[in-house]
Amino acid sequence: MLLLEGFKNVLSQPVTLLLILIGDVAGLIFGAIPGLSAFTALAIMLPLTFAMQPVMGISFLMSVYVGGVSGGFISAILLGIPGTPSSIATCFDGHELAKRGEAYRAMGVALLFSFIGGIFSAVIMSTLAPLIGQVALRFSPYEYTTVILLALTTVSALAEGSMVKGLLSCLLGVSLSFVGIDRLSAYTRYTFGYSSLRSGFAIVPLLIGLFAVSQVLTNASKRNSTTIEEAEHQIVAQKKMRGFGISIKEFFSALKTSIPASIIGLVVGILPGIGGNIANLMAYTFAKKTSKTPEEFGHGTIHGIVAPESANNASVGGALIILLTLGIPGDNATSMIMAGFQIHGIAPGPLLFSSGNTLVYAIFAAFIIANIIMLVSAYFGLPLFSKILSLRTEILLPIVIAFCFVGSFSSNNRVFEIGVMVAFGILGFIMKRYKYPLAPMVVGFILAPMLEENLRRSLMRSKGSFEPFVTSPIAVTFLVITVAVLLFTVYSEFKKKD
Amino acid sequence: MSESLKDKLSGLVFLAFSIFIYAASYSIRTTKADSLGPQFFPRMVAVIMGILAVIQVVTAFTRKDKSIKESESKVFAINWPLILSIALLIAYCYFLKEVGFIVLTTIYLFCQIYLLFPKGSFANKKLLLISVIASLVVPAGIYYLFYYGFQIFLPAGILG
Repeated sequence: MLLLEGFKNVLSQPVTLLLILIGDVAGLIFGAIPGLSAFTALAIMLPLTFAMQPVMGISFLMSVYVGGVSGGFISAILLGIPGTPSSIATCFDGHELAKRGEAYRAMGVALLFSFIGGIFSAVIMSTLAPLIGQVALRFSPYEYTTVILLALTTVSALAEGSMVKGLLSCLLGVSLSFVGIDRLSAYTRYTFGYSSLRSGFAIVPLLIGLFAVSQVLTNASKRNSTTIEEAEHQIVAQKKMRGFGISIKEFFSALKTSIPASIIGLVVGILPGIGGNIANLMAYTFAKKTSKTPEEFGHGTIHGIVAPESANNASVGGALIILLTLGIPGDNATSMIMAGFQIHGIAPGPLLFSSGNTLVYAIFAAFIIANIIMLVSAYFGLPLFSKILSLRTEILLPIVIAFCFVGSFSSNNRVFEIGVMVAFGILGFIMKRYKYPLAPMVVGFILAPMLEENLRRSLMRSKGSFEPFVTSPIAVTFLVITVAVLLFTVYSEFKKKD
Repeated sequence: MSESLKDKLSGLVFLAFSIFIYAASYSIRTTKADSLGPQFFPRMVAVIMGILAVIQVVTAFTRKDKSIKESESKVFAINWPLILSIALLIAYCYFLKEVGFIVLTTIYLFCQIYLLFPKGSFANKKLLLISVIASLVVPAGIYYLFYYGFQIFLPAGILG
């Protein structure tokens, strides 16, 4: 019933629907262009929401996110290049079909099952999130400390590259959060006398710098090693399709692949730090292993598109569950959504479920509507989106940066923030060069204040004793999983070496 | 630079950084009310980071590099597009207030697009034309979009 309230809340202003449509289309376009992603789309769109009402702004960002995750299949199928990392597996069969001239059929299927994965996770999210929120509401600082510790460990350990590098990157992010005023004692730390640093680093310039600016620098650094011919890609002429390009019988058989894939996506999405990138590959592998005709995979079967596309869209719902209930963002795109929440005065976390109840359900409703509108707009827009791929990243990326200048500037209305963005862009570029993952750093930066506050509260409460961490059953469970994740990662890294 | 050298170097940087954080924590003013104080958490993080940095350096030393001679010749080649892009970004921050958003972003866009395209791409007149149009239209478009649509006033500079 509360969900109905949410729908009413979103639909009461028709402008919101229009915004969702714009957001979906913008997200699809960004997702489709290789090198740009849901994150870049969110980075550009964030300053646009400053002047909007909370429900509108959040609905808009949600639709950009949904569109951005979905759009990746367009270039995956047409070019064989994943538009976003979360559509890597879609290339395997999708591009095979395109080579046969069946790209529109492949895209129709990808679109349909992106929608099904998204709706599946939306339904689970709107039933599960309030329950998790209720549980999280009873968390004491001990439990909160350990759950944040678990999130930071998973993000760092499961990120690409070695675990030690992931953890170092995470701690770097944590130490960046020291700059500014300490929340508990109100003393300033690590500002070194600069008054501009007193409020700490703002999240938006930090995020945009690390991910968008570093991308430009990476592309620029590769300029000398690419030739003109390599930079241009070809598009094959394609057959037109009717409907979504599959029969009802095929649909039901595909649904059997889609359901386990959506569950995989949802579960993987809940774990911080891995999200759609891993979900689509895992779902593809699972579908191939359990298929009766595994030999068809990789040669253009629709099941090879259904599995990864259901999974990556389902992972969005999973990531949102944890963001909304615990205030823990899992990757760069969800960090951006979180920044959006903060701009609109919404603090994600268990309190969201007790204080702003109607707003939470408006978020759920917006997510569902964004999925529906995505299906419709992408269906009619497919031929257009395919054309957009002829736009050149070399021109688009600097335009993205131009928007990022605005995003950073307007996050505090000062030029200093653009400097912060550039500084973090250079840092991000260097870290990528040295193979340090960036996601742990961002998540570390965002969660550090929460971790510190809860850890210090816990120890104040227990008068410096660590005992309550081991006596609380919930806290000890989180600690055990944390240690297990660490051990498992160390084990698999050693195994890889041999 | 070989991978293991990169790992050693970055490990040492992290070690130095952790020592820096620990040392800087001494200049934080402390309170009596909070027994742990604002310096407790930074120190804890610094210690863990230091330990991890040592692990990073030690494992990089024990690991043997398989490809020692690979791309040795490339080491000293200066990557101009990269350096110019960084310079461009820094100059952008530095001059934004004086020059203003529209003019400076126009310059930035064109230079950055040029730095991203493979050498000689602008021999293609169509590409050059699109780049010029984008550099001229986008900054002004953004400026007025945010000015009228969202009441965000970007630095006007010499045009203001």
